[in-house]
Amino acid sequence: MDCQVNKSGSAMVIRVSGRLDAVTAQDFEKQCTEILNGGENNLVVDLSGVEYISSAGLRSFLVVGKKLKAANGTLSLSGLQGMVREVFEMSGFATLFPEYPSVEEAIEAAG
Amino acid sequence: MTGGETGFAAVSGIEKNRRTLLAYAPVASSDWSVGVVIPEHELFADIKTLNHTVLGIGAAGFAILFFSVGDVSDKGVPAALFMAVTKTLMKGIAERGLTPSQVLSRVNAELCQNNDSAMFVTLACGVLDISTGELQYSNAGHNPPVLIKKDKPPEMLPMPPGLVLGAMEDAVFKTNSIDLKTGDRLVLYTDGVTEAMDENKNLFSENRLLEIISGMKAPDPELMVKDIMNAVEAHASGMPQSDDITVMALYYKKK
Repeated sequence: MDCQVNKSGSAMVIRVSGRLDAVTAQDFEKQCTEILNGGENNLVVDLSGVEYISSAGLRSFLVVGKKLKAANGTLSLSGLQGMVREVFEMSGFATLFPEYPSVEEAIEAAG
Repeated sequence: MTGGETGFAAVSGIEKNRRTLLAYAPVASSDWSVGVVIPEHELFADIKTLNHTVLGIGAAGFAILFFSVGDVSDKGVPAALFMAVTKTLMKGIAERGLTPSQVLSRVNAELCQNNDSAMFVTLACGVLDISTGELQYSNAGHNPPVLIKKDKPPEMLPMPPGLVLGAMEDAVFKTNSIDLKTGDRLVLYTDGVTEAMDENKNLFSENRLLEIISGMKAPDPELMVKDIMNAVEAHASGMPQSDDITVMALYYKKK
């Protein structure tokens, strides 16, 4: 799993690639938490490079989402495809976060 | 979830398969029978290895069968405790004669209290009226069960949408309903089945599950779970799996 982080407009864009499983989810959560602790509260997570996500991976989204909610922030998604989309839809997680067709549209929506 | 759940360990004829370290436990009455395959440590609660599967079957006066299969996110002792709490809630709430979605709503509300660690459970549950064959079922972010109508190819049971339990207090659940006829079967499972990986990280997949079930001749649910397990094992070919594998098969045979 690899995360590339860029600031774009008022949003922090996190491009995740690889596998979000029990091992790597903690790392993803840690990186997101560090971004939040730095005062950012608009996160756009691009999942187009993610090939696999487990329930531990989903849980890290819930953790980060809860922290952002408490800080009046947002977590937006883009790039859901294949198995990752299936998992987000089956688990109901797709209803928890706003989703955009592209990173650019997610950034724009963040203002 | 009255008799069956606690009854598993006491069911006679539990057969231990040393190769997989899994236990098979058949449960039956004259009108229905259930086969389950669950990780061995589910039966012999060792706190260090306690798995994260929630599973229960119970019969109230042999007229209503309540069943559920679920999966807790994450592993280890906190996940095991979360599982234990979920099971206890399911048991207590399911005994009150509610619809499956009402059961899920109440269990969810309880699990959301003080859930700072953001754990969650995916769960599918159903209530079968043994005398009429009416099956009511609901979904909390779980894999769709496989429905095998007598003499028809297996299909994924259309599940109502529903968020995993423990994630959001105001999550809404729905109950769907179908009529089972004599000879109909249902297979519930955790994602450890469909996401079992071979050495090239290829998933077992829903399609493969449907294929395996399609090729089954015997309606015996105990044989069904064994056949599914053997196929998953053959796919995994000895690779360590990250998720627990649970399968429950239900056979409705009321005349």
